[in-house]
Amino acid sequence: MQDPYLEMGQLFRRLAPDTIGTTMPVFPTIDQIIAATRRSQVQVRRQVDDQAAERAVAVHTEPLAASRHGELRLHCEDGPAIAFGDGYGIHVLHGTAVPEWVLAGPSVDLIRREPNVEVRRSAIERIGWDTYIRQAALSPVATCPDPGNPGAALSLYDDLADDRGFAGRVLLVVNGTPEPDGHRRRYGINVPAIFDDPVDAAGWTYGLDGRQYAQLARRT
Amino acid sequence: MHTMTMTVTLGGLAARTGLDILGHLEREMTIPVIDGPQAQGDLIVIPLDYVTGIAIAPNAHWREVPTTGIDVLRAAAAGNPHTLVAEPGTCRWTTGVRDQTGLALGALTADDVAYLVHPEHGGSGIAPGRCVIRRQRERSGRPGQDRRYQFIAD
Repeated sequence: MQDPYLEMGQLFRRLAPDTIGTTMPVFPTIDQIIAATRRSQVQVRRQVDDQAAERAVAVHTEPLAASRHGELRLHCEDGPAIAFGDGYGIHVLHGTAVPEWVLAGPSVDLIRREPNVEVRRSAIERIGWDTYIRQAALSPVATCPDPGNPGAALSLYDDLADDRGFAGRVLLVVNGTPEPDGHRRRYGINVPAIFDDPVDAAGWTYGLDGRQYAQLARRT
Repeated sequence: MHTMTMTVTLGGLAARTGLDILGHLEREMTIPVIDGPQAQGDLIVIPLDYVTGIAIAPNAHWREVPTTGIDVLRAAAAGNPHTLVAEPGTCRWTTGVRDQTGLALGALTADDVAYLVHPEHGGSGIAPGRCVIRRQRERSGRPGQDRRYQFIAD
């Protein structure tokens, strides 16, 4: 007898890389997982017959307790939060789909090579921001208040350990919107090494100069 | 630059448009309406007269923004959608924009207040006028890549 979970597992083995960095619902349906991928929805739907989609529910989800977030978020630190019949699945930390290495062994080197800013954030949060800054030997250049984001700072660091000829700087920013538990997520955004002023660097990320970015009225 | 006082709340906007807003966001909060630059996660709304190097194509196709809104950045491309919403007949949106930085998603012309809505970031009130909406970028640190920067998706 064909195992519908195995069938879906094979499909999601192909789809999972496209969900990396996206937000997963607590009890995701197949349609929600497909919607979270960066693939053409039509193309994906062609691979899933309606009957299989109806049968296929993730076999194991473990939402994080409401006490931590104020609302349920899919979260599992021991293995895939969404697992299919063949043991394959999607790893999710605090709602964000991440590659397995983020759970198994986040390291400075892997984080530095990771192109997705949400995955980097998730991995750095596993290590702790202070520890990451120390281990990555990020060297402070300047820090200042973030215009339009009261109480938050923009902090510019030299990424000294970048040894591939791509010398750069990292701008640490704080999300404008608090998480359900009140804390604000921090992100490390890679910026060119030409900036000494955090406001100039922040402006560049939106194609603005520092003077223009300084007029930012609100950030959410 | 001014912050105007309007009485549209996040909860009211969600109910009117049918858009999802995460439970922890304060639904009773009145959404500030701003006629200057404002950021919503990985997007920024900039009045056209604040920036140079952006031109709207003469043959740009303007789309009326319906009550249910237009996803200016779709969920499939970047996690959660950023949706532009407005009262019917008051706002138009075009992707026919030439931006030297390559960051513009499009431009809007609003005769009344328009809103940009995101499930995790809430609502941003946009004062009447003409604005461009840009994505955020970061330096691409990986060797062998032709592009010097990549888009951020939060």
